[in-house]
Amino acid sequence: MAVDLTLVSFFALAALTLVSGAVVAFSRNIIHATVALLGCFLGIAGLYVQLSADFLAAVQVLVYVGGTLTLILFAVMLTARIEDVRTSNTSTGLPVGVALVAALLLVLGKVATTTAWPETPRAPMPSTAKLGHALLGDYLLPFELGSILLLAAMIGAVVLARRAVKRNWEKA
Amino acid sequence: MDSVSFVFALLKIALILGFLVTLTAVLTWVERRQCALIQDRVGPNRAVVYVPGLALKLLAGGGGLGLGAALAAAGMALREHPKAMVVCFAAAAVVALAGVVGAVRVPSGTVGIRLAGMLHPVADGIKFITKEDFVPPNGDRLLHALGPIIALFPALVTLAVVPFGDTLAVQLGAGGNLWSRLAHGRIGWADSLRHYHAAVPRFGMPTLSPDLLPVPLQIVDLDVGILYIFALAGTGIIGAAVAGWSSDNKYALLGGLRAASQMVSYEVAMGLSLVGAFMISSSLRLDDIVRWQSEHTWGIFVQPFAFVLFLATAVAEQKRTPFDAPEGESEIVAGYFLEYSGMKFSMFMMGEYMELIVSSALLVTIFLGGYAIPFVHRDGITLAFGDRVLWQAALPHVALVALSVLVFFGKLLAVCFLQLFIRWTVPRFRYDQVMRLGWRRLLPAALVNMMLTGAALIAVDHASAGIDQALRIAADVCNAVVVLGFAYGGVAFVRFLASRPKPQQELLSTSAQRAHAQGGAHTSPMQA
Amino acid sequence: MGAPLVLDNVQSLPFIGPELTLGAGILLLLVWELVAHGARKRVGLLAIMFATLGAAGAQAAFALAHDAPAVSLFGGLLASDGFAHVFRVLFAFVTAVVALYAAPVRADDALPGKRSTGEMYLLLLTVALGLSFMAMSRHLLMIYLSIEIVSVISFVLAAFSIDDKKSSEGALKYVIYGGVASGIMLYGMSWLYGATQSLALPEIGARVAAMSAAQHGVPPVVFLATVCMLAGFGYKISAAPFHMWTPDVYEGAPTPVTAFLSVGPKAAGFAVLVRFFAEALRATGSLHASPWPLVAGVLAMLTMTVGNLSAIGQDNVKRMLAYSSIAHAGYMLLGFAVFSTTGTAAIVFYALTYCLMNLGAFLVVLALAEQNGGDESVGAFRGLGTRAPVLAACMAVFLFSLTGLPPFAGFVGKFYLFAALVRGGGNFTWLVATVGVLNSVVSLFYYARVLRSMYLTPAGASDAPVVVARRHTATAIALAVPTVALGVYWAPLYDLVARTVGMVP
Repeated sequence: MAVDLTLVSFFALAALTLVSGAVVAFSRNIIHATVALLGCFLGIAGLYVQLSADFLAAVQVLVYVGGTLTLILFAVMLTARIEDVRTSNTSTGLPVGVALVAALLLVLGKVATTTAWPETPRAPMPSTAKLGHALLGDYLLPFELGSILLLAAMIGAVVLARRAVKRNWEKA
Repeated sequence: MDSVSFVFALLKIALILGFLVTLTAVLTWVERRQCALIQDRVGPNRAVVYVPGLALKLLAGGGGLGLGAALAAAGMALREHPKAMVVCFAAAAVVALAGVVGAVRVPSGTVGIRLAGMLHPVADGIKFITKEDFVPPNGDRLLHALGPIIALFPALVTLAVVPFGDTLAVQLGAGGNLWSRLAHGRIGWADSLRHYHAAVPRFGMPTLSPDLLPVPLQIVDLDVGILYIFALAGTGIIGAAVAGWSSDNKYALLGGLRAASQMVSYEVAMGLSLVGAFMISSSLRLDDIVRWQSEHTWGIFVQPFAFVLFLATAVAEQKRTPFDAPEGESEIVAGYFLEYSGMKFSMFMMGEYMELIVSSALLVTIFLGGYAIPFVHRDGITLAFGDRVLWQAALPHVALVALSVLVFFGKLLAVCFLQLFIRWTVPRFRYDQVMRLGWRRLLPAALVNMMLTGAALIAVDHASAGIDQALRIAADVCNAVVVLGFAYGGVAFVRFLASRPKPQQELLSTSAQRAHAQGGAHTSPMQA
Repeated sequence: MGAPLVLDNVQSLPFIGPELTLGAGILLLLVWELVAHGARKRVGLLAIMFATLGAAGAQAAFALAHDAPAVSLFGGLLASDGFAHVFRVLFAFVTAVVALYAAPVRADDALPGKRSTGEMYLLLLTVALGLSFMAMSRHLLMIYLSIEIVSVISFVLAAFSIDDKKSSEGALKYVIYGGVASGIMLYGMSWLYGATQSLALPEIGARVAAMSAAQHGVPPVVFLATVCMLAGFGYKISAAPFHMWTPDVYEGAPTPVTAFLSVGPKAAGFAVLVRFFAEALRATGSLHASPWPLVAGVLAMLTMTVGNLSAIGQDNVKRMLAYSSIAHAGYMLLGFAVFSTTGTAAIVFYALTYCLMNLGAFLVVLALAEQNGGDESVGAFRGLGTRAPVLAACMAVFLFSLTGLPPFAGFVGKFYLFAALVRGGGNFTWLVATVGVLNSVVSLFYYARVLRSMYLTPAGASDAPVVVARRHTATAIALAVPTVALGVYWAPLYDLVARTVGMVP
């Protein structure tokens, strides 16, 4: 029997993503959750490769693992008593939540399987050049808007992080 | 993927991994040698294997004679090719003679083999494997084990996209499947490019042709190229941070935090410093970047600023002196791997050296021409300035490919040596200085470099034909400078090797003078 | 009306003059904040801020006045039409008013938390930029990006007085709700993209129409996607199931920020909703053709009722106004239950009047709290009719208008909303309209508490006359006058709105 390697690798990657995602969601240890996020990101990057989005996959790992995850780890490590988190609100409403999630999954699954999804041929693999042209061509405005968003977010972060200290010239 | 390229890929992986691991071991030795040299102390020469002299004599003599006999037999088999036969016989004679001379010169009695300290990595390996693997009782067992794996993994796989030689083009013979065609194929032991002229261009990729099998000397040829390296290098940060946290030790935690923040900070400047190079070759693929350099000139001449930036950030990424604040043995003992011992510790060390090799490979590939040699192209040597061709000579394809591989590894070794040397020459930065340097000096500098490159590219695109020609001549002059520099360096190196070491002794005390007068102090074998 | 002209990147630049102006203003402020010192700094900040907003608003107003033809910018990412111009002018105006609230009185007068005004101005301008783009977007990518700009900066603004526990708590809730909402919205967008293979609203609209025609009804995938996206939009306008952040954020944030958040992002959220309903869903008021009137009607009833009933028990006026702003989002959602031209026009007109009266109400709270050490309870208003007659009169105008009593602008807005509903006909619209009227009655109850406190409760012995900063009084009057004027003579504004709304396809 011929085994479709693409299918096998898809299931492997999906399993990696989902299992890591489950650890992220359910682990009581927040550091374990953070490290499990690594597997989640890598799995998603693999799925991107399967969808012929090689550039996106590389950037996904670069940005999310190299940047975001490190910063999350950093923040988590700098937090005191991270391991014994006491929850003050214990009423989680587990049965209701499970029922809601199950209903939601049912609806989503039903819609996803009954919809006639339009199919388009998959774009050939090297996507870097095409993405570059799109970002500086058709999608120049969103690209620039994204940079404005980042600039403003950076200023906002500085505003929030800076202690309310008066500078020397402000005291005068 | 067909079975042929699968086998080739396995071969390439084996070659690169073997080289990586071996060079890692060698680099630890080189570092100790340099340390001994700089600090004027005894270097690595304690590791010794004692062998009975007789056994050694037998080994040398028997080995030499046996190898000689084998070579002579090969020569007999190659009777139709007189040149090859002569070479084989000459080699047989030399090997046999060397074996006999070696056997005679080995002293009798017990002989201690030191191999100039090359046995130290072996001793280290034995030590690491047999040492107790200590896990802090209150630490996180799982993450403690995971840390070194995450730290080592990216260093092992990033070399995959670095091209270590020019594409090998195999002329396929007639036959059934690819394997039998390959068996009947030729790779042109003595043929120059002329034989493949139609399919293998002087520049660029070999065109696809049904009777030609191009074997790129690169494990995978990814379109995202260098982004793959950066992406995976980013995962290494997690390893250091996790190791620091799981050790249940304040110093380790501090080290992990320092490592994470330092690597994240310098990764930004590192990536941006290379953007200029991408803009010039308009590709992220490392083989495209090398090809651009072989067609024009080395990257260091067009991106000198970026070279310095990349070198500085690369050293910081490896957390080596002067950026070794995450280890900082005078402040936080050993930083994030403080609570590691045995093989796990050695994985961190190996990761560090492998990162050094990877960054050296990147430096070579992006700034020092990769496998390319100035004035040497797929059709042989073409000494030319602009359009004026001074001298041309054809070279066989295989020889050229082999040369490119050798040149790549030679450059790699040289840059590794240089990077190691930095450690012994620059003192450590303080942690805040590291951060300030990264964010307030290197990052803006990288951005400025990017903008200047863009402006220069636009200017060149709109330049007149005369300026274009002048630039091409300038590129060739740069190539000539490289060649002359290497020629001079080679000569100087040979002269250095040939010259007798002059012992410099200043005889300050009377006892020293007396000892000198009596023929010098006793030199112990312990000294380097 | 033919398809609007589609312009490429370079041709589009003249049409986003207001946004370019705002961008330049942001950069100027950033530099000025770094280089200038002392009194000169304050003057410069004010000058840059108001010049930028004035220039941006004037450009949009110019385009509006000249009936510039609708064009599609950047290859279909943005729309430059009368509808967008109205909102651009509105956002410039709102931001300018809020900047006036937050203006430093003296050179060393810092905002709560001792942060410099320049930083707040810079963030305000950035939000204004995001709001403008929200009103212009006709592409899911642009919608998402501009919503994110507004949200991210709003988080920072909400946490501006970070040393205040309430402010940081509110901001944290805002961030968490915002993250979840935009996640759900993105998920919905991805479903929609998967089903229609496009991110541009007109194309989505064409595909959805084709799919609906083929399946004799809106396909479930579109319904699911829209419900998910409504989570994101609903969060911006604080509609009922996604409103939980509103009271805490509004109470905790500095009052100028609260005023801004209660009008700016809300109006922009409605602008996006209108475009999405009109262009992507091609919604109509017919209950048989699509489920959208039902969804909008239920959402509106829920939002109004939750907002009004929760507002009754509040003692903190800011918190009360927060719930009241939820209720007002519900009123505006009424217009979506009958998605006709009159319905849309009523939404936009209501949004305009709501901005006036809500800004004014928050201004009075701010002016009062500035004088009595931050007391924002209903009790702080006692005897205000005698202690600060002008301010109290203005507050009365705003509150009456918010209730929807004639002859104030709020009444006209509500009148048009209910009129559109009634004209739509059908049992469901009648039900929705009835709930709306009942809610207005309920709202009178809590607005009246403040009124009673101002005029019927005598001032205590310790209550000194309130000395309100002159600029606050002036601004309050400047907001109260149009609130009354529009209640009496609203025709020009309504005609303008009706005309511009007709330009949205």
